[in-house]
Amino acid sequence: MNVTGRINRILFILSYVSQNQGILVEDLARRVGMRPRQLLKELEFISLIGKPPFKPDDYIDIYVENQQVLIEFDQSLNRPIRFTRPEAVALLMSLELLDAEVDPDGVGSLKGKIGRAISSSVDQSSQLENRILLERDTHLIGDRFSLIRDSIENRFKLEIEYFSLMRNETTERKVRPYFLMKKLGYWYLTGYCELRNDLRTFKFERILSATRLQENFPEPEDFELGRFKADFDLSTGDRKIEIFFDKQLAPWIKEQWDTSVREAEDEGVVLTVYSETLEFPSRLVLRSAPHARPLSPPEFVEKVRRDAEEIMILQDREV
Amino acid sequence: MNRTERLLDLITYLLNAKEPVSWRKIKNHFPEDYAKGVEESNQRKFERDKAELISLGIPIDYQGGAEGQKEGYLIRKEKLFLPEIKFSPKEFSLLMLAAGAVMGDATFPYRHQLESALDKITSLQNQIDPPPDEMSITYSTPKSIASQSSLINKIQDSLDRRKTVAIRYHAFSTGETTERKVNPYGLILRRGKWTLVGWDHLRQDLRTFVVNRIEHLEVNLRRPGTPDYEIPDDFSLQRYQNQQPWELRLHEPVSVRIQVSGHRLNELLPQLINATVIENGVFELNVTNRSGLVSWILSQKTDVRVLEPPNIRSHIRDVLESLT
Repeated sequence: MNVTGRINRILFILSYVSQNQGILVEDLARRVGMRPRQLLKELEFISLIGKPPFKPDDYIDIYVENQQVLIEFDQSLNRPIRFTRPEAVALLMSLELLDAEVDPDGVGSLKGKIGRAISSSVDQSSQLENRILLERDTHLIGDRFSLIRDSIENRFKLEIEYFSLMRNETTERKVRPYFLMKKLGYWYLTGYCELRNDLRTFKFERILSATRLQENFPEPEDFELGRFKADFDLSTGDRKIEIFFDKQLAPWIKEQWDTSVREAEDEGVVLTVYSETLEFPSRLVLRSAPHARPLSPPEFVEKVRRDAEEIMILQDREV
Repeated sequence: MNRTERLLDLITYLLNAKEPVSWRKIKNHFPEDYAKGVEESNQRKFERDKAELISLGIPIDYQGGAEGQKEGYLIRKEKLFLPEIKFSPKEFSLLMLAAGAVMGDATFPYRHQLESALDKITSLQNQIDPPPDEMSITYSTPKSIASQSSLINKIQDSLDRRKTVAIRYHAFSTGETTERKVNPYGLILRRGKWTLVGWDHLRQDLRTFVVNRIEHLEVNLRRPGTPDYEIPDDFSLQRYQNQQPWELRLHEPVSVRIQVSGHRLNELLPQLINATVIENGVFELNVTNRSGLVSWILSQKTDVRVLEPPNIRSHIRDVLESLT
């Protein structure tokens, strides 16, 4: 640990023990991420710190009694010090992920309070400009967010009109809303879909309309949040689909799909995906044309051919 | 006395002094550290220590000796400590939601700093409320693997101090690996990939580098306290974050008019923020990468149609030829 990190930790220990006199060595050690024995050595070091002229009362007096940490003379270092510039940046970066619509009052007042603490901490506001962006701007989640969040909390069913990219069709369905998730700048709603009789995830931008029904639903029993979050990224479905990409696209495909890719002729690669519908793999081939072609199964090859023809007809129509 | 001890003593001294402390007094009290050898190098040592403390969030002021006031250094208590922040349970739970989103990811560049900021906040909080359970936020993908985190941290460090980096980069578009010097202007997470945006000394232009394809990176070690470059005022990182495939500058701009199906408008609008709206559903794009545009149009299947110019339509036909 470098000098800055160590000083920061020592200052934290001082303010934390001042606010929590008698904290157990074990608990404090866990809080600062040290082993108890390491912490005891650090406390010994801290009691060497003092101010000139270095008379006994000029030293910090921190000690352990019955496994409890106590502080007698704190030399005024008894409160957390203001944020450093990187700490302020870190806070602001994480708060940026919170859209105002998530909680119209709460988000505003939280950001206001943190903002005031930061501006009293860091002098030059120009230095705080963010040089790291985690996601693109979120758009258009609007008042629909409150409607849906409210329906989750009060267990009201929703009726939504949804465009499914996986099926390339718009349907109306009743949904029991369970959970909201933001991923890479996009919001998703997860719930039990009464049309498909299964859990489904809906991208906010493809929900064309949403109405709250005067119909309650019971608390979901079989919905395991943790498992669901872990599985969110895995493509589902049991239809095995193979696509060939030529050498021009091979590096990107390997980077993106990693273990699902195998080497093929002429420095190309074959990608294997498992999908519920043929829609997504077909779009993948189309957007990679002419550097990709469908391999199997035959109905997938046929699907891509039909999709390509449909696009040609549309683009060729008289303007 | 080691440096950690000296710095902590200095904080304790200046914080508890009843009046500003002169350089002469500081030297008297720290003879081993500041009063040995050449005066000039002692002063420089003190300046370096002061800079270190300031980077820790500890403000050391110098008070000039106007109107009979004492002259010297001091730490003002009201500027040193974090003001009391009282959060409502709701605000605190939202803070945990936002913090949790980034703390779960090994590549988040300011992880440790966020941790210590939260430590400061929570040590003053009587009650700690968990995040709301009907919501979660993640910004990363499983692909942003921990092995990238040391690269990300080096880039963050060079951004903080404006230091040039030397990289070995494998470009997918050319298949070549080159050594380059880059002035980092920003770091973005774009379509799930960490991407460095900066001034490329080799090409004498702004370039983007996918961090995953950087094979080696060294931050300039010379003059660590002095910035190597300035970031121009008109540089916008946001623009790169929102950059669309057809906006890569590969050829002279071409104006393309497209029509978007009604049921996809809401969803595709964020990608069309730089486009001119002609009428409802009809947009005019400024295209500098024709292939990027064609690829995007094809992935929308029949929901985006090219109105003008006709040669984009024939480009689409040519590309699809191989599939029919």
